[in-house]
Amino acid sequence: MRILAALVAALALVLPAPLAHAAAPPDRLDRVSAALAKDPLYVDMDLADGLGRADRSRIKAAMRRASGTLGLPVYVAVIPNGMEAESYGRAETLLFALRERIGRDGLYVLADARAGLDTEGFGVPRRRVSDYSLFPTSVRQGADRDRPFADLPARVDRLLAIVESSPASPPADPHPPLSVPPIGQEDARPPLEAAFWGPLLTGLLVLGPLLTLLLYGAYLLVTRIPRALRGHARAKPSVRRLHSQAGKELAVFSQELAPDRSYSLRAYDAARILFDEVGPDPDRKSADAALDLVGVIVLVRQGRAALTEDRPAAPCYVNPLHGPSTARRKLGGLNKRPVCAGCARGPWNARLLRVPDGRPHHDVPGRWERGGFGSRRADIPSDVLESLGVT
Amino acid sequence: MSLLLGPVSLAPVPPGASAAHAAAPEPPGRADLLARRLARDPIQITDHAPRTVPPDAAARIRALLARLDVPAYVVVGPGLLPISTIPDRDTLIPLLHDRLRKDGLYIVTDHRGSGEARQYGGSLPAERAWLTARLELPSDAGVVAHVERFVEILTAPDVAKRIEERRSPPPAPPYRDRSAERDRKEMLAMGGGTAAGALLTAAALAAVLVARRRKARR
Repeated sequence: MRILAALVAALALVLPAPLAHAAAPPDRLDRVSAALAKDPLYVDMDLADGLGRADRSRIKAAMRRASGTLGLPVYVAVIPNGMEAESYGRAETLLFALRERIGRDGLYVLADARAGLDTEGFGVPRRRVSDYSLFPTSVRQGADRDRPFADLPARVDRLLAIVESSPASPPADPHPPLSVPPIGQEDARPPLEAAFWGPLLTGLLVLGPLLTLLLYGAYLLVTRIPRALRGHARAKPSVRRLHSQAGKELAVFSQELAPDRSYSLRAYDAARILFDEVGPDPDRKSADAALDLVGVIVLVRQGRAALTEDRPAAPCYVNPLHGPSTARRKLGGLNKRPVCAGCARGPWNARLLRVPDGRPHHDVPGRWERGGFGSRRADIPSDVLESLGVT
Repeated sequence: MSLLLGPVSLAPVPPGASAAHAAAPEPPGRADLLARRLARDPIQITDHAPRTVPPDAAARIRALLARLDVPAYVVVGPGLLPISTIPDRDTLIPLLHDRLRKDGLYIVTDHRGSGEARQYGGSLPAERAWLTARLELPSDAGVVAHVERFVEILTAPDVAKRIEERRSPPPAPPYRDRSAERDRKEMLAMGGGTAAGALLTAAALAAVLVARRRKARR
């Protein structure tokens, strides 16, 4: 048993020692930690003029007081710690290194060449003792930029008082500091290379297909939507749209006329005369012009239907532009009227054909009120020709 | 100068504490401590800057200054000391000379090579030579390179002419924006990938559409 313990002790002595100290040449941490172990206030030679005798005794008094309150030693090192130092300018790195060399828990305080204060608490029974935000800026940095050491004793005193008055908590070790690059390898990290496969595959697999699909979708939108809109009759078509549609459908119809279909011929005549009656530039607000143009379209469609069938079905009463009726339906206060398949079920009010001023078509007195675009009186061409004074 | 120093020397002594202060001596200042060390070894290199001062700096500086054949006292200190309270590289030389009481070439600098040089009891244009060396060297050359250039200037055949025809520092390499270069390469890769992906998808889409149309026609 004793041999085993001796072996373990020997191993513990042998193993870490060469690892920790063989490579490292003596550095400033050795002399600083040795000095701190003798006297817990260490003022470096290069900063010796910053603190006079009275300043040092005041700092020491505060350290003694804090050490008594905390029950742990308080170390204060006044030492330059720039980027060129082994700690790479990082206070916590230096304080951890000093703690390791001294080997005792305690409150470690660093004042650097600008008299800026930093602390690390090792095993200090106070909450947040290693928390940077525990100490206000007025404690961490000197008030006078040009004479930062002037108020250093007062600031150390306040810093230690803050630690003492911090709520008690079980001692916790601070987080180890970030590693610093080894000496001479500060710029050893190779520059970041440009990524290649990531962007390429992102483009190839995601962005490229997305682009094509977007373009194809846009193409479909551009080509399909007007077609869909054309097929779908609007509830309140503009006079201009009606005029152009009537003109187009009339022109198509004129190519298809057959001399042996009298209904078609009469429908064509009525449509042509009515279209001319409306004129080439109808008033945009005119309810009569709108309905007359709807009538032209209905006449054309009825006439074209009559090319192949004997009695074309009456158009939809809700909106004659919907096309031929397939059913009859009671519409509000009106009697049963012929309606298209789309108007046979569901709400119809929103689908009702309205003139530009918003009235429903059956509320506009005139040529179409009585016949209802053929839904009530079957022979539209005769009605129209009669109303136009052509017989 | 006396206007500035007068109030400072009077202010910090509180009336009641003067007796106690007189009893205990003030701790030695930076100049005192440095002078003591210089008396032992005239080349004092700080150990606060192991990242920028090479370990053999003392030996190299000693060898370089030996070529001047004058006693030389060199202090390489840490950078960035608050100069108004602590005598630093620009104010330290007279203090050191006062304490050492030895003539010779004094150089007080930091790990970057700033600071100054001055000779007591000689006619070397040390101040101008050090300034010339600083102006000729890039800012990250390091203290050994500064001493090397300083000695080279002072050992030139015609020192005054050498100082006069100051060499311009080596031109800084053109600025290279690696981040922008990287961005451009990555954007190029992504653009190429996007184009290829778009074309491939378009070809696949066209093939599907053509096949569907053919099927519909049959």
